Amino acid sequence: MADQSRTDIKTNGGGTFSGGAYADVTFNGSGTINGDVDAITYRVNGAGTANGRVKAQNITVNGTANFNGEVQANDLTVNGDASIRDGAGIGRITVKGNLAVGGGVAAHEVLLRGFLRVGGDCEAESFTGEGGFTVSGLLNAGNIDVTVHAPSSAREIGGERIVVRQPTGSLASLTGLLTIWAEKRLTAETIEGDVVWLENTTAKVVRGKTVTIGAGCIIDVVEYAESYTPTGAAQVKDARQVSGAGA
Amino acid sequence: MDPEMISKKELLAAAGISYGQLYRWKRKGLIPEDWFVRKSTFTGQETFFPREKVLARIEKIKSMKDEDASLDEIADAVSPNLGEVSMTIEEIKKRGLVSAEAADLFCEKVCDCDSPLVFGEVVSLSALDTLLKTGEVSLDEGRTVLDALQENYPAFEGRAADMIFVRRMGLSTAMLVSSGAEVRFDRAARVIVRLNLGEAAEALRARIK
Repeated sequence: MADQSRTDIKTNGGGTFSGGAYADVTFNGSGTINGDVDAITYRVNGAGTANGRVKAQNITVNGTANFNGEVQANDLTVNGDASIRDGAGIGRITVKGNLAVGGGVAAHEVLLRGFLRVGGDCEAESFTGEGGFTVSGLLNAGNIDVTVHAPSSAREIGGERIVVRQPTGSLASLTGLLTIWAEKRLTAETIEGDVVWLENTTAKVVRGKTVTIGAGCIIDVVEYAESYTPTGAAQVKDARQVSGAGA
Repeated sequence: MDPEMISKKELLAAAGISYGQLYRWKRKGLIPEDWFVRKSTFTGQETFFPREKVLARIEKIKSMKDEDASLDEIADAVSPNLGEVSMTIEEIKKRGLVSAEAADLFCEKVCDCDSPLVFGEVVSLSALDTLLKTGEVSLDEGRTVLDALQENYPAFEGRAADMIFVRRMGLSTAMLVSSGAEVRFDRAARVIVRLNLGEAAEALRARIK
């Protein structure tokens, strides 16, 4: 992709630019781009606003970035704060700071080390890490393995393997105080997967082949096909075995 | 419950698949988003599917998987958007699949009459044909419509779009809007046609096959 015709944008103070094809876009001060951008790298160290769609191989946000449109990238790393107004289609997302997406997210891999907010559905092959997240629609991932450090929610969660952990060795697990658990709780209406393993989760319905309900869970109904393992500190109103390969 | 619909739980039992498979196929686009219909039931929100469509689709996915097709290959096979057809405009005209007027106009504006139509062209042709067949749209206006489609349809990037053709005080114009969008005009304007482009193309493609 070493396209000779592409130029760079680099701001150290401030500046406004128009969209187009660029090689490297770097905002060290503040900057605004009006129009769609196609870049190889897009880096915001200060404050950067894109009024249009942004397509880039790598996007790194160390400061504050606003994307007033859709974003497409192979790799998006957010160490600071980023907000995307519409949807995002991204190979690998690493959130170490805050990322808010107004529309849906389609990714191959989501690595969570901070907080992710998604206004639509969030789809990924792998959704792992620790931190917090809210997904207004469906969180659908092949492998979900998250340690929840902040209040988190999703309307629905579905996938092959779904593991939700509470932080180990934390105050919460030592004291067992529900008030502290509540702050690090995942809330969902339904959770459906082949292997479901939960801690500190509130849900109306949990369905799966193999279901383990651990400490701090508050579940209305568990439906399982093969095995169900409750542990002492969970509240489950009703658990029933159902037939069929599905449930 | 609507007998045309099947609940998720019934579907998994009937098709012998797991939640993991269903969600995976959804992610891969093998089962379209709009087949997942959320409804309120006495147990809370549940998801339902159009029974026949989804069972047929799962049957197809499973049989292709048995032949060792990858999920991406299956997605290509079932995706409605890869709508190329194996016919040139000449053949389509000869078989009377669209009106001769539409075919000639299309040829004049667009072709490359010798190669088979690609998806965007199928959309343009089907829309043009539908419009001309209303009898309310002149050939000249048809040219304008074709221009509007060729220029603007790609911007929708596969999202569903409608074409609206409006006449007002002897003037006419064609516009493309997102499907389902509400559009209102002043009283003197008359909407001649509002056409879902995806469905129109689908219908033409079905005739070609």
